[in-house]
Amino acid sequence: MNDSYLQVIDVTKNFGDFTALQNVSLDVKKGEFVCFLGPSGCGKTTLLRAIAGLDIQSSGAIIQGDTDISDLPPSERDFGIVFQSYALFPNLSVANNVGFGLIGSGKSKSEIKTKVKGLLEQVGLPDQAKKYPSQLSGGQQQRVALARALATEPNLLLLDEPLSALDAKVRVHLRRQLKELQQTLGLTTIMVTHDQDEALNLADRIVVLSQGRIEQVGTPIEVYSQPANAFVADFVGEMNFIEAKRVDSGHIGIGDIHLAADMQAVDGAEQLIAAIRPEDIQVQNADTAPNGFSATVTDLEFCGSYLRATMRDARLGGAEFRADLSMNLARRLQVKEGGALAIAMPPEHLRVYPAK
Amino acid sequence: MTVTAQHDLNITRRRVQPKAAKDEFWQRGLILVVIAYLFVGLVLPIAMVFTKSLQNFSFQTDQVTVAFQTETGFDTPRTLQSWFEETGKEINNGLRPTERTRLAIVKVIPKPARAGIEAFQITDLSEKGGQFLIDGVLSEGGTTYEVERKKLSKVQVKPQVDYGLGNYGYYFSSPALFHSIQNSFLIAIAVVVIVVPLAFGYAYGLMRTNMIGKGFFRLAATVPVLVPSLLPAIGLIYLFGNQGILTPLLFGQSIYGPIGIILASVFFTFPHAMIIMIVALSSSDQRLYEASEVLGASKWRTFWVVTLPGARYGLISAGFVVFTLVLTDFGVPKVIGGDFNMLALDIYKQVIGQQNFQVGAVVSVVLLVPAVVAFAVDRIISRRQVAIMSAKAVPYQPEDDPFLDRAMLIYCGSVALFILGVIAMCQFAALAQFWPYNLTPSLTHYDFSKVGGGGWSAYWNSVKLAFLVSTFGACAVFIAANLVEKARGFELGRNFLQFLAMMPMAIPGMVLGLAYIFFFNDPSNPLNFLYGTMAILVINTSIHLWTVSHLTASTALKQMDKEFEAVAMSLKQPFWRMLSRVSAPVCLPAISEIWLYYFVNAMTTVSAVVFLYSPSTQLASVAVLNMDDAGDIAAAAAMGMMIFYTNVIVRVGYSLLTGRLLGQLQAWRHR
Amino acid sequence: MKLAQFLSTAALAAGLAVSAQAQTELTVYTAFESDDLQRYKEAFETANPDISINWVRDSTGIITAKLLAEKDNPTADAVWGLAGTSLLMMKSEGMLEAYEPAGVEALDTRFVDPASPPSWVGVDAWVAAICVNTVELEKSGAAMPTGWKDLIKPEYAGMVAMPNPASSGTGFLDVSSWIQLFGEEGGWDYMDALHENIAFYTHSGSKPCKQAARGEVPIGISFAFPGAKAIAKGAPLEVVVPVEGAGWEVEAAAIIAGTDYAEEAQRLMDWAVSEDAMKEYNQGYAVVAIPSVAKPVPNYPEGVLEAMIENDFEWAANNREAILKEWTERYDGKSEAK
Repeated sequence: MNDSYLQVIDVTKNFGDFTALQNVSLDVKKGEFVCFLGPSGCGKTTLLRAIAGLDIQSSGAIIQGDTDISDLPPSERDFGIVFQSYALFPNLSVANNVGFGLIGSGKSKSEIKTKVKGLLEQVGLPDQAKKYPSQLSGGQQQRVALARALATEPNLLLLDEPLSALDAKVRVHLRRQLKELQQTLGLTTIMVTHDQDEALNLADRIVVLSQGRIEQVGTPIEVYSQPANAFVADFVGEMNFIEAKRVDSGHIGIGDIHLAADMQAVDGAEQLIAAIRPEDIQVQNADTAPNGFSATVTDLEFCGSYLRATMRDARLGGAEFRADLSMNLARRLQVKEGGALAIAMPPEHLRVYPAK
Repeated sequence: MTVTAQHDLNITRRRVQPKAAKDEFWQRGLILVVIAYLFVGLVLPIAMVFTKSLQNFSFQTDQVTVAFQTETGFDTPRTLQSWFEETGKEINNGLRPTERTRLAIVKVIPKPARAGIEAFQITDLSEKGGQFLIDGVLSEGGTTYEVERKKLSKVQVKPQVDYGLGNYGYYFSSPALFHSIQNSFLIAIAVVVIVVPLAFGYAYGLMRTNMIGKGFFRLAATVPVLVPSLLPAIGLIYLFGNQGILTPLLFGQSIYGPIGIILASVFFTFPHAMIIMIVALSSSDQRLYEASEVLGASKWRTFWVVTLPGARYGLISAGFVVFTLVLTDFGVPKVIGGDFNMLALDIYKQVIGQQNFQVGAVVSVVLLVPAVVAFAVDRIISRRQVAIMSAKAVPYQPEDDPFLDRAMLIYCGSVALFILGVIAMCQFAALAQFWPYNLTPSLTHYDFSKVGGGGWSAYWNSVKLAFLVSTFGACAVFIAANLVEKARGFELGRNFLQFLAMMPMAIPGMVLGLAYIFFFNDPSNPLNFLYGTMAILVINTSIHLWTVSHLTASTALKQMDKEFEAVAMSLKQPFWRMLSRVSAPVCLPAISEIWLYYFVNAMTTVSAVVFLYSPSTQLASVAVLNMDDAGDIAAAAAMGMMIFYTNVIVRVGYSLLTGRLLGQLQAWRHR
Repeated sequence: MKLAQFLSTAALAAGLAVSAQAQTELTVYTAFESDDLQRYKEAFETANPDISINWVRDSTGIITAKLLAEKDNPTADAVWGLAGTSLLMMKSEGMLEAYEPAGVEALDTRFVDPASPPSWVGVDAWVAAICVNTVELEKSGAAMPTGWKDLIKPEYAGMVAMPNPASSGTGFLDVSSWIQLFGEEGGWDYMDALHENIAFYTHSGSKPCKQAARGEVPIGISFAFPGAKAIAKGAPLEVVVPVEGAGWEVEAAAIIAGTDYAEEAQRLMDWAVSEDAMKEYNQGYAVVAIPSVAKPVPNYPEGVLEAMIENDFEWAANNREAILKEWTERYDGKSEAK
């Protein structure tokens, strides 16, 4: 039919009266790294557990390869899984943890030993085989869990917030290692996370979920730069939301200022919300750029590599928005609190959504 | 959209029915096996108690007719009912017939009326027959029997069964039996009022002061768990009986009766209350005490405002546990109660003494009510107790307080002295040649062959039972708890199993024992062959002690990462491999704790097995009862001490094993 | 393959075991004192080398309960050493096989079921007696009682223990004998008065005597056998045969109906009434079914045989329930008030 490896078709999951997933459909390609992103309770873990067969969906189908796995128990599906808690067996050594899935697989003891050794090398823990999990650091434990999941050579790797329990530095380090490993193996991978940086960084495609529904599916760049709706725009990255009115089929009005914008998504609504990322607000050559106007800087916030300027203007009504300026630029333009600044909201970055 | 896609979409609208994995069929099978085990070993027998309690017996005097021989044959048959009407006598003298009551025909038909009659025709009018016995042979329905004069005295009318609330009416209108309810409640409340503060104080000393000897006091307080409840009663007789060494302390009051029952009950319920209090006090938060101190509250006020409210659920829970224990124990009143009747003792008397199974069943049902209520309250409370324990709580560190430490030392010392004194007294009496006239030490009372009860073979039977129950029980309970906690799907079966696992705690041992007689001793029951065997004792004891073991196992299993099973499934490992390689090893401390719990209790339990032991499976704890019953109190004390020493050895062995061996096996626990 | 081999070996071994054990094993329920059992078994098996006895022993009440409970499904082949009243109950349930043992004519007729052939035969008897602790009696300053009527004197207040008739065969024997001795009304009047002196009612029949031996109570209404035993152990005890006469009960033997070993059970019955058996009983019991065999037993009181009242077992068995109900209402219900 197509090149998708995993198809989620119209999946709904109810827990009693609560609908955790509602008519979710999704295709994952072979070798793809997909992140399920969303706030807690959005259904991302539920969807992952449905794919694993741990909490089977109430209705809908899941097809892996050529097989309809909708009603199969986890043990008859083809996947490896890593949890946030690592879920390492505390009484088994690292080697026995990694080799656990190989028991009864028909492999001899020495074969298993070799395989385990190879896996531990692959995750960068060649010397830790004899230790118990409690003797390892969190990052090491997570790598053992990963090695264990890979031991049975699954065609699908499921990661349930695997990095969330680690501290920031380890997390970034492990993120890179994970991505390398995934690419080397060409392994179809689905990761659940609530951390947008992680998703943007790792994923080939991101699935943004909210309240049991898919809000948007796209590459990190698509999701970031063309958020399909206000929710995605808000959840992924920083975003200014400004109340606006429809002027005509190509313009919106914020206070007295009229701006050109792509109105396709608005579908004729009168009350609108305009959205623009702080870094997309143009300050260089703004007076000649489309959608340019002048505003007053009411507040300046130092954020390390950049400055965040809060701005308003009488002509904008009560609207207030922020713009991120590089330190370099800010110095050059002599931006200061109370001063006026010419800015532009480029139409290609200005997104318009109907007000709720 | 293509046709196939449309087709697919239709499929996806249907509810998904998850399929079970291959090993899950075994898992479900195993759940059903455990359910069946608990059903047969618990639910059906208890149901039989209810059925039996509803069985009433009455004479159907209109179903039996008697005709007199005349010169020409036999005259018109008359029913026995008409004879009763004519003589104005009451059937069975107005007494309530039991299953075994018989009515002699010669008592029904007055002598003058049948003078000179040489033969009689007696007819069973009923359809199913069995209305009377001729020389022990049951009559058949619709059949007429000819009986000569000499044999008329051999004809006895048999009562027939029907179902109704008659036994309850009889029970509640019988003053002696009704008195027992009152006695039982008063005693149980009195013991609660004494034990709960006593245990609270003791636990307070252990948990909230820096007195010396805490380890010793903790051990001393748990000593009563290691002996049958009969033993403290025996010890008290030696201490306070008519020949007791401390009798003057009672100021002329008799130890036989309420005083003895209360004292002995305090002894055997004390550790149960104390352990609950220790848990309650250990869950309190240091920060509350610091806050109280900062606010300038006095120690006394802190105690009332912080300590006591923090332990309130523990206090209530201990109260209910003690109440139930006293209410359902029959060993203590049996030994030291004198003529003071109590509910649990009534069951024993009705069944063993009077063979009145129906009234025994009624008393059992009556006893079930408060036991179930107490159990329910305790469960609700223990749920709350968990809720108030916050994960962030800082454990309390007692401050030095020389006055308090010394006062608590004296207090705990007195309690420990009482406990150990009673035990020491038993040992002393068991070794005396002939109390109180010849106190030369001798081992004669350990030669159990001269007394009833089964002697040394009973002792070894008990050890065997304890080993079998503990080993089988620990395995069965752990596997069952594992299925409840960890199996995938099959909620119905798992919830039902959980429900069954909680039930035994609400069933008093005596009631369970009686239930087993009703159920397993029925020849039409295919499991009848179990009756009188060691197996039935193992089954009964394993189920009797199931709930506490189940809770221990569940708690341990709940502490394991809940994703272990998911990982194992993703690694295509069947549940039994997960169980044997991970769950069981990780929960080994809990499993061995269950093992010990089963062992110690199987050695000491009397209530359920007293109805079930057979001559070839006599038990040490029952032997203590029977020896005391026969007046061989020194031998009873000797046997009781054997149980004590066995439990002490097993416990010490357990501590060494868990300390050393388990330490090696569980190397993974240490960093 | 291996399993089959193992099974056949096991079967062979089992077969051998069976042939080596050519004797018939007879399951016999009994309430004989436990220290007598081995002696009786050996004596019987010497006389009948092809039969071995498998004793199932418990107290009278419990073994009776067990037999009645197993009524529809008996495991016992015979009963030997159980109270006559218990056997009467079993007889009325049709549980006994009537059989006239060889040599039954030598027995005292009071010991044998009057039916012909008899359903049960008594082999020895236990007789009610009063056990008095001389040390404790002296302390109290009361006089040595000589009979039942003495026991209701106020000087013995709180000094007497007796078995509860509801649970003890001996207790019931006492109560039924008092009613037979003093008449219906006189019997209850006597018990009303006695109740005032009772320290406690015990569950078992021998306990009052053993308690008297230990000095727990000065006087125990019981039977002679435990008293004699306690004296031998050194208890300061005197066993008094009441002057008014004493209730008694036989220990009897019977065949359980439907046994697979009827012939062996009959041989057991034959031996149980033989003179050899009587000599064995006589080592512990002064009163045995063949009066001529009886020799005095050490520490046994004199005049036991003469004191035995005319006991109507049939009457006692038939009225048991009514008597117990009356007794329980009079004394058990009031016990708490004491």
